[in-house]
Amino acid sequence: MKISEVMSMPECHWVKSHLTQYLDRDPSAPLTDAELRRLEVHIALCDKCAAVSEDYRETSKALSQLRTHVDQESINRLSDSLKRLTSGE
Amino acid sequence: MSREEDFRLLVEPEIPVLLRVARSLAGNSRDAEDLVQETLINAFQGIDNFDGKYPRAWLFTILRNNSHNVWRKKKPDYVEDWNLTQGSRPAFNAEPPRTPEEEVLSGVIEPTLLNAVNALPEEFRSTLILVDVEGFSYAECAQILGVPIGTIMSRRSRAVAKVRKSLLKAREEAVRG
Repeated sequence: MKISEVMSMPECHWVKSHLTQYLDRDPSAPLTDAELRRLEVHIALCDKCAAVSEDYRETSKALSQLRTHVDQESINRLSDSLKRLTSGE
Repeated sequence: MSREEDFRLLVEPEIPVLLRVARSLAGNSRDAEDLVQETLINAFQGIDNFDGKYPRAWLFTILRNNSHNVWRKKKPDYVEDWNLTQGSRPAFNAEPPRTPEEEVLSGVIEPTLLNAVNALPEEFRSTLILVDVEGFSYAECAQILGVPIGTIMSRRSRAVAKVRKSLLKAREEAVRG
């Protein structure tokens, strides 16, 4: 292992622990401008973290493709059930 | 307007989102419908305790409690639900594989993905399904599961890392043949 790789390991660890937060850009868990810069600079320089970032992106995309529509018949059955419940049937 | 009618008007628009959450917690559509059914009955019985604010949050709490009480002994099985819906499901953002290699990888990745999700501990699995599959925000997920946003972030980060590891392993094995 190169010395430069050993030197960057703590930074890699920090980046990995903030990666999903960075990729999601969820408004309830924003990164600061300084954190965003720190992440982007490191990903631009570190091949390993860039690869992990791409894998996370692909994993998240693959998971989103498992999404299916909620069954309309199921909604209708529950709506009917709710009507019966509130009408005392 | 009667109290019963008020309740129905308040709750009926929430049925689709309740079904999505229930599917995440129960693991399949059939059990999800039963879970929502119980939630509606419990909500109606407990209407006197509801202050009229944030009906969705109130319903999520009842749903979560029902899920813990009734379904905790059942292990969710997403593979079962996938097999039932495959072929008829309009997959979200899905694009058909374009090359033979992509077709092979697609056939490997989907079962591996489902197995990897199924193998996660319950709290990781529900977080991952709610955020990544169902598309809820961290804040909504935290509200649904009744935990802080920081817990959601931590669980999800670890869950994605575990699933990624499984996918990488499967991909390497597929390429090696």
